[in-house]
Amino acid sequence: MTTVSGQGPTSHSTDLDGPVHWADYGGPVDGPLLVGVHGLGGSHLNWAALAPLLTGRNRLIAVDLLGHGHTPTAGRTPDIAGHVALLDAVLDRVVEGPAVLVGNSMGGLVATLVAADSPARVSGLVLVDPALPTGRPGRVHPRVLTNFALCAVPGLGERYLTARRNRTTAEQTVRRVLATTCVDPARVPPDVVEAHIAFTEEADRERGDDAYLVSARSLAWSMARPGPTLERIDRLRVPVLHLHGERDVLIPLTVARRMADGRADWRLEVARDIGHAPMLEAPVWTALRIQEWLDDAVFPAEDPTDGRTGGRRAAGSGVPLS
Amino acid sequence: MDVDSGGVNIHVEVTGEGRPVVLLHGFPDSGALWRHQVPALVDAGFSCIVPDLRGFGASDAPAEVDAYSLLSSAGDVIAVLDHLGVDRTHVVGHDWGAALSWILASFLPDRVDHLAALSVGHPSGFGSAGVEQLQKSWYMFFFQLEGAAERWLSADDWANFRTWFGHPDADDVVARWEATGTLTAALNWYRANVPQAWAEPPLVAPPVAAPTLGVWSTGDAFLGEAQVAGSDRFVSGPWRYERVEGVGHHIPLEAPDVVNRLLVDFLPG
Repeated sequence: MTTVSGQGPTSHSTDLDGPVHWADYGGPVDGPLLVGVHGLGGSHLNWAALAPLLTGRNRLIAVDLLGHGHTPTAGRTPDIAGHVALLDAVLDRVVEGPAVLVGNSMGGLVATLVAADSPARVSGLVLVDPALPTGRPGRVHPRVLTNFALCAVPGLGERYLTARRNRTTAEQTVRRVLATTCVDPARVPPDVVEAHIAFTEEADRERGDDAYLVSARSLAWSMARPGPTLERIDRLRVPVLHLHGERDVLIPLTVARRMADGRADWRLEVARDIGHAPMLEAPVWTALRIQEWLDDAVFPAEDPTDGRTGGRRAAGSGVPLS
Repeated sequence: MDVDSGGVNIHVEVTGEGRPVVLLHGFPDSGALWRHQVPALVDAGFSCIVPDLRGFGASDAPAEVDAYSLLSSAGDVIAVLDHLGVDRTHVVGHDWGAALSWILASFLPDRVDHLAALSVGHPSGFGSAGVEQLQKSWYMFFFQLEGAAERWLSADDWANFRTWFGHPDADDVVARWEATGTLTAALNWYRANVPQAWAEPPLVAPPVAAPTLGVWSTGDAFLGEAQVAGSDRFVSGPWRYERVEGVGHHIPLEAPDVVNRLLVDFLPG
């Protein structure tokens, strides 16, 4: 388990029709529960800069999707449906009560589908530069489609993208991916970058399958045939906070704005001069927008003279340590 | 006495005769933070100059967020020194008062003799203290949310402030906020001085030439050791670092004897 400055998360593996690794970033046990869902090629570590800013008031765990991080595929297919099943099983069998899902890129798609399919398990949805189809099937620009398939955040899978993989060091890999996903990679806290490099080196020794490519193809397919996904988005009944980097080159802001078009209870906030991974490049901004929205839209204070948070908070709390 | 600092009234208590020492409190305190140090320093032959910083205690609390920048407060300290006719002084600070002390020592080397900074290191190093510091300082960013921070701290008879902050004088702090309505003023210190982007370029400040003492306590829930212990790189004068074991954030209140001993030993009388 890679940790950051000895302050990192605790590592857990639960058997959910195969081992599922998840990281516990801590926070008050009675606080609202947030579940981080990384993107293509990413891992629980993508939340390392954001987590400490949220765990003062909230409990945060982060899953590793199939074939990502420390979760092996172990016979399961690491496509979108497989990731959805994994997240659903975590919500059903690892945590108690509904959670706020926080998904980046492909993780945003996975979280959205779980929220649509299992509304009782989800109290809110935070989408960070999500890879969602827009309401205009057939009009997706080919470049956007390609980009969706390449929506890598630092981790292990992106190394499939280079023919020079065997001659590329983990550090070069992480720095190249950060250069694509961030407007200015120097904004990512240095020890978080170091942790990603160490993790990539570690993962290189563990990796033995093509989970990344299966996920990427499945993601591209979801974008190319958006109908079923759009129908499920239409069924969403939870408040949505959509955070998007103004200068995301993988999922441009113009595309992101169409995702929010005409949807009620969907708040879009734009991170100025930030790329595809605001939780790494602008963790403070990301944490503030999330906390503001949680207090405002998900767990509003019921009675201002009382000041306690509302009844939905109780429903969102509690993770057994397993 | 009260000193006018560009239209903002700064309350200051001066006690004792001798070489001057300015003592600067932090959030959410007032000059009363130093009540155990003042008698000891006076006995040791110092004159203690203890202001209530703007937004705290009996000093004015301007409405604008920008009024709480460290540079404005540095101006207040200079106004106090000028009013008292003090050219050069030792400076001791805790928490935000320590950040302010570093700024004074960096930019006004002629006026700062010795510097003692408790709990907080040089502001230029804070941003590079890493994720450990982020973990502890989440609230500094949460305090940026106007209204939400006030609600969270004050809800349920200040339950969150009392349990999370663990201030030895919590009842006094709450009573003062309720009587004066200055919670927002206190939070404005964070709003005016904490960078909105974690990786914002650090403050560029001249190295501190004064002999400097950095103090950090192992039980500090809000501030990590690295940002104090590593502040020697911003000091060109003699540097001394002291770690106080088993004591929380409010070192002057929680370990008065240790602080008194350190100050009397470090500051030339």
